[in-house]
Amino acid sequence: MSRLGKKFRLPQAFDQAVPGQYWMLPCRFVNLDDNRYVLTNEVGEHLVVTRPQLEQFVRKTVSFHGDFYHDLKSKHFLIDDDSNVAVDLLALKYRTKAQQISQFTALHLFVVSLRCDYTCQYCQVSRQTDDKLAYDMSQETADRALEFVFRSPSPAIKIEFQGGEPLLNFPLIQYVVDQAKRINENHDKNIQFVITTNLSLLTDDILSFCLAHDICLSTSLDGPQDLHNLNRPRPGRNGYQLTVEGIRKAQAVLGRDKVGALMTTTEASLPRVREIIDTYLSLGMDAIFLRALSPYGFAVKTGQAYKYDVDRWFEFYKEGLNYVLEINRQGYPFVELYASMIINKIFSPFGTGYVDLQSPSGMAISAIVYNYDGDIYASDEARMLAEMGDKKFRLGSVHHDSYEDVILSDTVLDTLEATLSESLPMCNDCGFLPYCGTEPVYHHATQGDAVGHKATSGFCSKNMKIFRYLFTLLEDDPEARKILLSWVRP
Amino acid sequence: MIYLHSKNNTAHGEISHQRPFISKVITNSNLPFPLRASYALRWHGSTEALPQGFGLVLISSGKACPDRDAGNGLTNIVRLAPELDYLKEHDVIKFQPADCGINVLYRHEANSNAFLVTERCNSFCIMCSQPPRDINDHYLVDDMLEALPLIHSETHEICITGGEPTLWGDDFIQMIRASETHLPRTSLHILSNGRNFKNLDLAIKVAAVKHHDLMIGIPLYADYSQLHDYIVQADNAFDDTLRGILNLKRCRVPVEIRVVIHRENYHRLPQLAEFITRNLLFVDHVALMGLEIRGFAKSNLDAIWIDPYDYRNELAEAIDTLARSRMRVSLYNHPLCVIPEPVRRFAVKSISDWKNDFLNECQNCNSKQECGGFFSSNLTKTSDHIKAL
Amino acid sequence: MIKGADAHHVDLSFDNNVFTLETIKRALYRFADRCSFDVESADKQTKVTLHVPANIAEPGIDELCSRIRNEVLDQDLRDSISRETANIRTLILANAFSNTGLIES
Repeated sequence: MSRLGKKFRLPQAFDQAVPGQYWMLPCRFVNLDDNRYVLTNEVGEHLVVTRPQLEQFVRKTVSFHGDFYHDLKSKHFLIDDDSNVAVDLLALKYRTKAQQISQFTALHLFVVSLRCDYTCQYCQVSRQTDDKLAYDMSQETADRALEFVFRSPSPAIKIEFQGGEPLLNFPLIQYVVDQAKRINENHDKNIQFVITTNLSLLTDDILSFCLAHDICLSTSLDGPQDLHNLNRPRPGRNGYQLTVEGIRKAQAVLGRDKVGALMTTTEASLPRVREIIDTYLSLGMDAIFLRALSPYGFAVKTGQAYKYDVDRWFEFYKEGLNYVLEINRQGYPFVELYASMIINKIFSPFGTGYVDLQSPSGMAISAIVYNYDGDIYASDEARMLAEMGDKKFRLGSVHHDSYEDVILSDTVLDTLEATLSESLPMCNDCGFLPYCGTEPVYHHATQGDAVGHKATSGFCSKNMKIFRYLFTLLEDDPEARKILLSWVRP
Repeated sequence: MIYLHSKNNTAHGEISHQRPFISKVITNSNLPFPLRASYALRWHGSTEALPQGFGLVLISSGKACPDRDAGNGLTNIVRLAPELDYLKEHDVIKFQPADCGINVLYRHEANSNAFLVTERCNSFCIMCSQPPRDINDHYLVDDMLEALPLIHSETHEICITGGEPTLWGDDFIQMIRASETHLPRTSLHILSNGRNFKNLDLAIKVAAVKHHDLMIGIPLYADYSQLHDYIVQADNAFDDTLRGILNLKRCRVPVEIRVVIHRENYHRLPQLAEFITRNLLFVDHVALMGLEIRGFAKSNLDAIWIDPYDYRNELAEAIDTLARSRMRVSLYNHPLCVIPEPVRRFAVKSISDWKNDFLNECQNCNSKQECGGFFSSNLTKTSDHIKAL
Repeated sequence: MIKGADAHHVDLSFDNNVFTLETIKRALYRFADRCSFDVESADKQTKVTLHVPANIAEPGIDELCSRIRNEVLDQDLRDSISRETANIRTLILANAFSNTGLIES
């Protein structure tokens, strides 16, 4: 190899570091498999290393001019005498991360009616029949809730209409949309609207209202006809047909990207993940969210949540994710949303707004729920818990409390403090911490304590399995890596 | 290749200028008499009837000329060298009475006009195309400040380059301020190694000018200090440059990161891209650049040359990483045929027209219109994988 | 490893010169779903007695023990990291929240 001209000095001349002398920067690790570890720093940069490499790093025997040393340095796992700008950069990254928290509540859920025309066995909240007007949100409650919405400092706001079945109280949806737009003339925030509906009451008028106001629809679709109808019984047994017709109609009027669907996993779903995904494919959907059944509401009362354990659910998830990857390999871009959120946390310098994967807990920071009666909850899960009689995460009422009372309530502050995962046992030294969250409501519901013991936590066990599986794919399967990276959406 | 300098001009008759003469080229020979002394007239008419009173009268190289002898009553008539025959209305030149040399400071037709404001530099990059010289060249600043008011107001972009322009301190700020004053609709692109902006005061002064469209292009050659410092041959340069970038962005000054790719750094390109997305996501543009074989790049060529074809995978991965993070990324100085198809959409025709050329193979290429081609200086050393597309 | 007569009890011991009690306890915390522990610290050694549920077979117990020993090693590395990085972590946080003007992306 040729040398530079004489007036140039060699690389060593510019190296002010002393071999074997460096300072580790704050970091954590977790074992990926029997041979490898995932090493992460405070701001979520990662390296997958072998056990000997990990030892070398901590014992300061890393070969001084090798790529591993440079990788550790570049990704801010160490500083040496040659450079200390890493401290400035880390501080900035940490600050940027914290800034997202300070933006405060972006997602506002309006439970406009608890009534529903379905009688789903796992339903989290509602079983009221069509005629109980007492379970609808009033205009007065909506007005008070809107005042709260516009007190939130977040520049982008999403208002989601929930139920029950929100279309049973469609006039109030119209009222809230009109009022929100009118109030926003003085605030100039970016507002989005979503209606979470089973679509059985969808009419042309409702669709044209959605089109006029750029409202998205989110529905429930559990898989093929027999599975969907088993999970979601409706008098007349035509739930699947109504949902599919509704999705097609809404796609035609609003466009495909304005119509999303969520699926819920029950025991009956477990052997059928491919059929479930095929149902989504045949409807022209571009994504599916393979969800675990959460341990709230009627799901607990009917024993559903404990019927299948984390291992069985993970097998279901893994089979589903592999099938999704296969679909991508066949040339059709299709996203699994839970994996996508984690991939985004790993590769995007921005976090995700998903409430379950945040530290401190996303409650009241990412989402806030206004119940039909004006009660305020920290998250949808907290509301479900309340419907079961446990009001631990009720923050107050739009009728009796001020915005400050609610946001600075002991419930919010205690939970935030208790769930900063940097301070939680087992979480605090876990390499997956930057990508994980704390889900206090889950741990309160299952373990009677918002922090929880992670060794026996289904939430922890589920996430650890998914993290390990995703990191293994990223490391060992270049084609899967390419597909997963294509899901990064800043 | 277009020449921006020539001494092969000839004076006809007496030259009245005692000092270098910076002027705008015009073609209006009827200009009111009191204005004429400030202008260079580009004269295509008869040499029998030369207009009077202009600062210079520039006639084409092929024209028959009046008697060269002094004492024929003519003053400031210059017959251009053939390579400067292109001079046109709105161009700005600097005339040296001593040797009849002409520097072209501004070409109205150019896609970009650069002002080299110093040859001094605090770095010593192994592939520098403009090797630094430690000389007193403040006249370059004066030239630019004098030329600025003469430049056409609809000019798209001008560039300040060096050497290291920030070495001028307050004069550096003065050049930015004058650009904003005289060219309020023209973008200003500054090439700096960014190191002096580690002093927040300098960044604050730049921001205080409130230039309407300024971008500072700053090189970052590696994702860790040892390699970057070696490439720029200066200790602490990595830290200084990064602190400089942070300071500029703290003051809301737009910053572009420029990465020249060569044999000493191509293998870390994917890691550098990741470093940029993680640490410098807020910069406004990233330019990945092929080598310009001039200056040190020429004398060190054997040590730093790598065929762009041989780093195509690293390049594709780096661009993918940057684009995935929604950074604005461009690829400069890479012929389309040597880069992978998926990254061709990032390739930009970036080479200044006066030093841009193509090879014979390129004549049959269907993509020639979209391709940036080559630096004229690179024609002797090109990729082994050049082919018509 | 010293195996007790009863298959449901297994003893592990750790050298006090190499591992702190805190390190050992932290490691054991992670296995709380699989067994319970008695920890006894003597001069030179810390003795840990595992109480393993009856339904776990011998190969399972061997694997559990080797996992626990690996976890203790991991916790030891974690201790080194957190001891060394405590100060710089404070410095980074102080920098992050000092008033130097936010950078907007």
